[in-house]
Amino acid sequence: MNSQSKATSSGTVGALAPYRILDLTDHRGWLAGKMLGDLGAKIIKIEPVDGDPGRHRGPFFEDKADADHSLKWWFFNQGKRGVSLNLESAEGKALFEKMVASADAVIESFEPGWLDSIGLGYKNLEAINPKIVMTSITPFGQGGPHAGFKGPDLILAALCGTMYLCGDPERPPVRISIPQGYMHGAAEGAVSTTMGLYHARSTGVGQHADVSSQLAYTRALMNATPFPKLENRSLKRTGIWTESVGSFRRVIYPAKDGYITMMINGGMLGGKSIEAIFEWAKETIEVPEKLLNTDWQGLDAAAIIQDPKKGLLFTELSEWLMDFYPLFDKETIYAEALKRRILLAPVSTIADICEDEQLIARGYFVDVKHEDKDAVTYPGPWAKMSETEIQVGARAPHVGEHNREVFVGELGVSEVEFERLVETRII
Amino acid sequence: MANLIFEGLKVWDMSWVGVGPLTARYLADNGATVIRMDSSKRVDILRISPPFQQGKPGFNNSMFYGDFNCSKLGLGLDMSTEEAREVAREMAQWADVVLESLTPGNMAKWGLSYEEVSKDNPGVVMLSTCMQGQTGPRAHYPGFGNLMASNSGYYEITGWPDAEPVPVYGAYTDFIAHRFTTAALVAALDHKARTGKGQYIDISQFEAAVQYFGPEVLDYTVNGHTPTRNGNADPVAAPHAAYPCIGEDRWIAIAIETDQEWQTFKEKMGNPEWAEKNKFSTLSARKENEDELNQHVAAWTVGQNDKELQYFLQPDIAAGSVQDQFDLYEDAQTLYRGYFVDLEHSEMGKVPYNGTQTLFSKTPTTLSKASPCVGEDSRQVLKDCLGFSDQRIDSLVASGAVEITGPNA
Repeated sequence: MNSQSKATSSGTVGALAPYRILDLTDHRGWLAGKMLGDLGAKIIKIEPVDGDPGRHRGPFFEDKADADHSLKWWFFNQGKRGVSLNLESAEGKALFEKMVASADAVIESFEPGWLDSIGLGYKNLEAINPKIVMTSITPFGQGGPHAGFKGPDLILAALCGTMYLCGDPERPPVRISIPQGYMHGAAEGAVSTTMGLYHARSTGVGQHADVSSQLAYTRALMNATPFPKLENRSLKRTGIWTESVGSFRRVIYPAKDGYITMMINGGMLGGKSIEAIFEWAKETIEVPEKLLNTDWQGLDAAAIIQDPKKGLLFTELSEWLMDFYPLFDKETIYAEALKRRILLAPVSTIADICEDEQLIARGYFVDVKHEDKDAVTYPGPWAKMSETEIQVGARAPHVGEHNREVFVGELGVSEVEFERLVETRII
Repeated sequence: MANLIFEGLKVWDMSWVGVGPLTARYLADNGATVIRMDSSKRVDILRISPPFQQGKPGFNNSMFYGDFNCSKLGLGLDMSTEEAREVAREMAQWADVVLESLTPGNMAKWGLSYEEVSKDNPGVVMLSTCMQGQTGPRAHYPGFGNLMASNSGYYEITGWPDAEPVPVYGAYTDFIAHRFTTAALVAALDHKARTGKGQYIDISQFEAAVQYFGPEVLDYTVNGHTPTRNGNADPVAAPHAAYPCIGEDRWIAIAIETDQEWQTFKEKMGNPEWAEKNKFSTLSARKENEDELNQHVAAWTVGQNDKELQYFLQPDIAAGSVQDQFDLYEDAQTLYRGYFVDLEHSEMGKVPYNGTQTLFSKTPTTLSKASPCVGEDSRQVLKDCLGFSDQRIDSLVASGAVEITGPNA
């Protein structure tokens, strides 16, 4: 079988091509194996005999809510081979140990301590294969007072500190509606796995990498975390507004068919953007004299500190932009912005992204073949690597699709034995 | 002590702002020698952005910059001079890794394109990252992560369904992209260690950010669905929201995913009468009557302390305080993992750095030093990396090509 040929059309193999990685994760860790597979590693997704519970997470292909049509499963397990295995049975465990002996890394997202309890914790795996890198991706990490806490996305968003800074100040804090916490944890897990492999290759020593998704999400607070210690204050959420030296400006503006984002600022860079808007606006509507005659490039933070009244000019500019932008659709505004070098961005929808000319021009979208269906369009290569191209993998596996290939073909299980393992639901 | 993962690796970090410096920080915190290019003439915007020590603005007083650049040495170069560009080119010959995040085309203008750097340093791994990639119609459009978060769909799906989209805090996509850049870079280093071959990597932060939306892109391409913002609601969980607690702007997030959790939650609330009604008995019923459900739960939480309630509900019920930045320093789990690391900065004094999100069992990530002032280590770097004499360094400093600020000025 060569369904897993990792060579791209131009014939290069991925940077991690020699590595074999066992992926035990559920939906909270899938992205890690996806990223490593994109980089060329050979990923074997190991799921329970009944299938990974994450297969029942939507959205679904044609809204068919069954184990084979989860689009979440499809995307994050693309390029992986799939085997099913009952790790809790003695025989299943023995098969897994055999797989570990010839693998380079194991990624997992079980509750902390569970693998230890069935004799498959890091210490056990290290005894089988001292070079093995084991990456654990959990909400809070392997040890500590919250290690056993429940941590779905909403809770991670709350505890990591991003939610407090997000949303309308007059209403409760909000999370990003599509879960992010595990994505950050899994991406961190991919990074840690590459680092562990890099180290193990040169030293022969593997190790355990313990990821906290909460903290991986805290990193997204950008500059907020040091505020208490340096300025003795906590930042607050400001909704669609941003504050600068006491004056408020809108960040979100309505367009004819949606919204755009612009952060208006004075100073050299911001001032140029504002002047460019006026040049464009004059072709269509009148720009108030007061705004036209303001020296926006000279109106940096220092100037407003000296004369706080000047900050109100930004509020006035915001109000005028509320009349201007709705005259155009997002596409027109973005096109003018590119031409005139006005710093702004559309508030894109997923539909906008799928039709984005820049992504299309760079060959970002790829067609992935699914049996008995038309090819499905996926987001594809996220890096251009001159020697080791990102690999566009085959569609995600069905439950146990590669059992025979892996257990008989690679682990040397006999056909008779294989049939028995299937019958007894070990695999 | 165990060797750190990247011990001996030489990195010339010509990047600035977010993604590039954070990528180089992964290497620096794990043992690489990372030299960060800097200048007060063409200053990294983070150096003029808060927080500042004691609230006082100053290039060497920003922890926005600091937090992205610990464990690195600072080399100050005024790239408008040919002498500085020559130093930058020599650094690129010294390095195993060159990182940059300028608008496409700038590196070539300085004679630092991959083609030029790799001519005499064929093993170099060079990574360029920018908003939308090195090629394509929008390659040269500048921007920053806040705009990219809007451009890549994150604002559309944040906020309340009855109101405008809201920005996610900060340059959100920087904190997605920096892990894609690092994974690709380390993979390329692994490839180089095995084959001797260097390479050039081009990462568009737009393309990295859309990876998180893979299932949603498929949902559009196969089903024509486009998701939008939904407050704190979840299609398969209720209650699922932030509820008010005692104090100003104090909230607790609670997420009930299964009917069994709902039973447990009812017990925790003391089995109130309202919760026994049929309209709350199943997930679909609770979803149908979610507003009313949320009002009842809020009436129960509003008189309580968020932290105490969190510990009362966990680990049976998924609950967490909506933490502000002060809370993060008292979070028992964050403390247990030693996440925030205090380091002594030459001008700011003791300041807290975000630490590692991964604990390695054998090669613990080590924040080796505080972030540099602009060009703080120029002299040491030019001596150690390029073998320059003091005299030569003095003349470069005198001409303004090389800059030194901070304690070594």
